[in-house]
Amino acid sequence: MFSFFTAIVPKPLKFVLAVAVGCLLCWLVSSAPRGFAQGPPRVVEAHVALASDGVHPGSSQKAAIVSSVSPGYHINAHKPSFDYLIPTEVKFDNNHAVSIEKTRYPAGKPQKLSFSDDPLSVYQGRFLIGLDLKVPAGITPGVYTIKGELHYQACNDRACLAPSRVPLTLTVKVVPATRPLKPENSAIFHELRTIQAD
Amino acid sequence: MATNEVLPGQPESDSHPPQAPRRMSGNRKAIVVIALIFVVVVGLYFANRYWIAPVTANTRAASGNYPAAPDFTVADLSGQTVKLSDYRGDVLLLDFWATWCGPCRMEIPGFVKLQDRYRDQGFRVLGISMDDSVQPVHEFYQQFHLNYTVAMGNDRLGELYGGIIGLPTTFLIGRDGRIYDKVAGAVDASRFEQEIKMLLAAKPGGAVQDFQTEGRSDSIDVETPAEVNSQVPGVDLSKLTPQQIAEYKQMLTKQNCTCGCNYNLLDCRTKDRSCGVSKQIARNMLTKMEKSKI
Repeated sequence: MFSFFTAIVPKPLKFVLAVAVGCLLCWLVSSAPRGFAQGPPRVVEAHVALASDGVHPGSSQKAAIVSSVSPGYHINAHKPSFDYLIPTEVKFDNNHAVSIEKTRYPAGKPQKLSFSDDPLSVYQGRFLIGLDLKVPAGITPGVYTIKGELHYQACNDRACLAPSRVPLTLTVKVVPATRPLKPENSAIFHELRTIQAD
Repeated sequence: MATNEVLPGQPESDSHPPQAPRRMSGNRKAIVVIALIFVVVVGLYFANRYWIAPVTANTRAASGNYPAAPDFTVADLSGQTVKLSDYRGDVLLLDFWATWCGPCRMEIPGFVKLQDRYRDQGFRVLGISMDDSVQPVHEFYQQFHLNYTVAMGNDRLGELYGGIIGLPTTFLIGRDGRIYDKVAGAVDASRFEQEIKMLLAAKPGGAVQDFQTEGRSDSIDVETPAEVNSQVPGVDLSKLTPQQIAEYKQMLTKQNCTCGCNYNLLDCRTKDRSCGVSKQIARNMLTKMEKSKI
């Protein structure tokens, strides 16, 4: 088998492969599996997407928090299965320019885990949280930014990480009423419409 | 003479020239190479996971590298002071946990049974709750009928024990006050039973010879109070002058942490004390700085 391999692989590539395998061997032998390696893994990422390229004064705009949970981990749904579980929650700073009228959390998916007799309502993989935004009628056109955080607490099937948060930045562009708005991120907002809310 | 004519003495088969071997097409070669690399990588991963690394862990344990458990003072659920040194001479299972941690809740009943079974032989369990408030811990204590002391922990205590990244994290401490095992993540309590028996068999204050862990263990890295209480968390600055400390902190602000936080090293150390990446880089930079001053 080895002679077959050496017969088909060109010489320069053989050298590169030998070095790569050697490095991989050194790395694997030097590292032992650890619970959480060095420092807590960052298991949740999130960013904000807007449904249009601007908003008119006195109007509403839809936004979505596009989140993803690393494979092997889950976070509790906004309405968790038990009172002792820490829910997923979005919090934004108070802002006079942009108000968040409603936050729409998706329903959690029931997941049977080794440490619980009953399934837990969790978010795994990619999920969306909808936001209904409103800007006041007398606002001056311009760019307005609100800071927020997605609060969560993640576990895998053997251990739990401390409650943590992902920073969020919501940037809203207020444009004159005469300027037409262009839709953006249509796929995300189409998906948001089909998701069962919590 | 025609090329195919048989010469006298030559076997007939020699009259047919050998056919050129078929050559593999470029695409097929690439696919075979990629498949072979994949098999090698996956094979090496599983070899490390289930064979090499456990041998490495047991070798470390067998070499006697058991650090002293850092002493600490905490308050139990009734506000009474609890010190680690109160347990010297006992075998102690130190469990970092929280009421919001499902795997912790699953594991704890097993610790209650172990406490009952080995209490008379000098075995104790000490639960360190990492909850933010006492109330849920009180409720849990009563609901689960805990038979051992539970105290309230904090991040600094976690850092003394190398940084508690995930819960539960369990340490097994011998009669000599040394940490013999550390397990991150929930396991069946029976995993600790054989180890507890080995440690109980040691004389008070005596080291355990030939200690073997019963399963996968995690590396035991403890910190000193000087590291935990440092201006740069996790880095002992006690040997530096105030001017050197200022210079060192300045150096840390000029380099970003590579953990993905977008902070410079100093900010990452102060805002995310549990980040092992910035801690290691900061320690390496201090070592280089100390060597350059010699």
